[in-house]
Amino acid sequence: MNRKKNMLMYALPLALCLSAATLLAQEPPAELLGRAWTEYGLQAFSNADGLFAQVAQSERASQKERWQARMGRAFITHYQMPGRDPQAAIPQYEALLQDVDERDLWRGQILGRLADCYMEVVPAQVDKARSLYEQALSALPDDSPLVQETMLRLLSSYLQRPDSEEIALGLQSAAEMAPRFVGTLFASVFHGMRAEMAFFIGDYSALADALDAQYRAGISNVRVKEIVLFRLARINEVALGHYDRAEAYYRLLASEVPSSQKAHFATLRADELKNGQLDSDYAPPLSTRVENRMVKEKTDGR
Amino acid sequence: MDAEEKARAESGLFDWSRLSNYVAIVVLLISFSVSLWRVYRVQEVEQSDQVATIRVVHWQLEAGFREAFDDIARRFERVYLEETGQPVRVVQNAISERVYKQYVQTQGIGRSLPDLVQLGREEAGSVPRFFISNTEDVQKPNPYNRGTDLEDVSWMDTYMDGMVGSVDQADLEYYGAASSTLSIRMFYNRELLQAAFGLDEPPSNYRAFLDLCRRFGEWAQREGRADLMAVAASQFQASVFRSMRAATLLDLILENDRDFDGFFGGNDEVLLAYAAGDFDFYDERIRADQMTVANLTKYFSPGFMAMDRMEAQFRFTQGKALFCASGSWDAMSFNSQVDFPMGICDFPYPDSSDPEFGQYVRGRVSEANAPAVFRLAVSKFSEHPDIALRFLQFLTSRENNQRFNHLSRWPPVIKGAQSHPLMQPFVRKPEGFWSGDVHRVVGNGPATAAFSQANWELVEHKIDYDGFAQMMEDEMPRALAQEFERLLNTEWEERLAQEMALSHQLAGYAFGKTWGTDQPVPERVQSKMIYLWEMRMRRYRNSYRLLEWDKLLEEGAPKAREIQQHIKIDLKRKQS
Repeated sequence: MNRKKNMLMYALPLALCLSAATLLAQEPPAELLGRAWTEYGLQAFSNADGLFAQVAQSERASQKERWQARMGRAFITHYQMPGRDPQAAIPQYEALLQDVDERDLWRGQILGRLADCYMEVVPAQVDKARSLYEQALSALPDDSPLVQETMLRLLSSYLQRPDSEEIALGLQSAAEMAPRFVGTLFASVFHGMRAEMAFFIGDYSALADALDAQYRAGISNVRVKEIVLFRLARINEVALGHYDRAEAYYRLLASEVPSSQKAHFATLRADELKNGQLDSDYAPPLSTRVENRMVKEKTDGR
Repeated sequence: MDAEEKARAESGLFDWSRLSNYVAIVVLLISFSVSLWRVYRVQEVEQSDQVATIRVVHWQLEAGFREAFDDIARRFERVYLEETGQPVRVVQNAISERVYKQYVQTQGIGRSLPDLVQLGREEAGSVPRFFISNTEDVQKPNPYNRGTDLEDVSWMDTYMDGMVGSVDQADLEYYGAASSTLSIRMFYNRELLQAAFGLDEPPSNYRAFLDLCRRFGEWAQREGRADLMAVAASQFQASVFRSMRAATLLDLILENDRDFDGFFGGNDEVLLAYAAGDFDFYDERIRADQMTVANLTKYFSPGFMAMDRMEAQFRFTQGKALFCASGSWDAMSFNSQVDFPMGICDFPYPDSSDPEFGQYVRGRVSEANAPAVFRLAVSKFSEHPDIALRFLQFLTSRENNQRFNHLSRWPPVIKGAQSHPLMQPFVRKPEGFWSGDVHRVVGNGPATAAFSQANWELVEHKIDYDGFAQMMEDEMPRALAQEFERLLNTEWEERLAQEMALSHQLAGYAFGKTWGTDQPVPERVQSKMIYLWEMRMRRYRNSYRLLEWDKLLEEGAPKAREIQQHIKIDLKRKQS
């Protein structure tokens, strides 16, 4: 009996020490999550999944860390390449949604990704996706930039079907959303999205207006800025006949994107427009287009 | 001992064949020992605890390049010692381009990549895995520009292209820094030009140039020099000579540019315009574009399309050809190999006075978007990443960039850095217009294959231009149908691929604060989200394309109907 007691006296602290050492040797869940997301960003999906699985099963992880790990695993199912499977990700997001319950940012994020899944399955379930985006918008905190990001996703759903009426509805919806984008990070992208809608349905006036707003809100990618300024110049010159505006946009292009292959043309054409030369030495003649437009306006009774 | 050996031993004659074996063994042993000694010395140098060693790997084997790099490396070693009191050594290793990609991939996986690695031949998406981003550093001034007017200019803005070539498209961060740029020009044999025509420079006029090539063949025949040719060329040079095309397609581009972004070619607008009957391959502007080069290939050697690039260049450097064309990277090699006075000039492209193409010529094609090259990035496995970065900054200061490119005879990439006189003809000419691949919708698709086939026949003069146009017209309906299917699918897939990148940033935004030491900078996450959205906005155009396609079919456009017959899939499957 005494012998057994002595053995226990030694074995117990030893076991405790070993357990403590094992626990200490384990990486903290926060570090594991950081590494998992880094691997995810590098598209090393099996590494990322292994790390997320460790956190999801770790007793040291907090509830939120385990949710995050589950979210990571759902992301992998949803986005991994090759083998992305939005359909299989739906139950994963739904299960997570039940657990997070009323927590706003979590709920908003998960609803947004669920909506994405319904947009990406073939055939897309656009109405279901829109309803989920709306729910996500109601859940997200008003001051989160994810509100605007989710609104962009909602707007993009109007570009899914080759249907002019649907796209026109999207443009209408964008007009209603416009005040919520003022002064936000996503303002420029929002106007870019409006421009795409206007272009799809051939509304050049709305297209020029949206592109101008996109430029004024600030564009970070210089190649996108080059395209926007060139489009503004050409639409104003060719489609709308606003030659003074066209000249101004050509000059902006030449000064703001001097590395553009179009900068030289822009300067030449701006000079021609300033001198009232409609038919360019470097581009197809405008006069025939102007005549055609006048005839069309006459026929339309405008 | 066999009978022969016995007889030799008895006769007392020496066995010379055995001696040669011994000599071979001794030579082998000496060579092996020398190799071992050299490897040992290199290891000793690299592993010396006293000296930090920066190993650099690249594939530039052109003449003079490694010597120029060594010069800058030695200067850096001296400057670094002065600045820090610490010795440093920069060792370069040039590897053949043929095995370079595999080398980087295997060394990366083995976590043994050298400190600085030339980028441009690696597997897609591997840059963020193997290299350290220098996004923060490129936004600060380059310390080695101190005392110049670039002192307060961010490192990225000291580049002629704003360093856009250093942005990795996988994670939108900057990696490494380029040192040079490139352009393509024509090389000529001044001695032959003088002998045949008494000229020092070839004519800059396109027609006069063609006439000179014709007369050179006649002169060579008169002189009994059947080994001479006007232009040394292979399939490679035939593509290089496409740089002599003028901007004859500009009107066609602007007429068919439905979204007003200035691009027509390699996009959906080609399909829509062709299907609508707005252009075809009998268009005089395309004829001018194609025939500019085809007129010249008459003076290439027979069978040039089957010839090797090096073989053609060898003919030129051996003095057997009047002209050759290549990029700035070959200038130093050519210059060191030729034993005749060599000239370099711009291509004699057609101008508006050209009797055949003049009415379509809007000017030359601009070189504003010439790429930055020789980009070195710091590997994640570098033991001295700070010194490696410092070396990059040193190499790309205006003064050193000028010096390096002067020595290597490459065009510099930093604003204000002067070129070597040999490089003066290579200075890029940003003034000009642009062109486009009006024969295709997507890259490397069936339309490109049809074009390559027809172009091959045209430049080899097996067919005339009408034959070329007919070949294109015969192939385009089927090819464009396949490219349309591919475009819709690719656009869908690429949008989803961008969605993956965006999902990573969304996770960074929502959870980044909890990621311990891997915590991202919130402002960077947000700016990447914006950047990704800016890029993906134009990836929603499938519905527009299908709308326009339906309109063409409803209008009964004959070519649209013909293309539609070749479409094998339900185009609207993913857009319903």
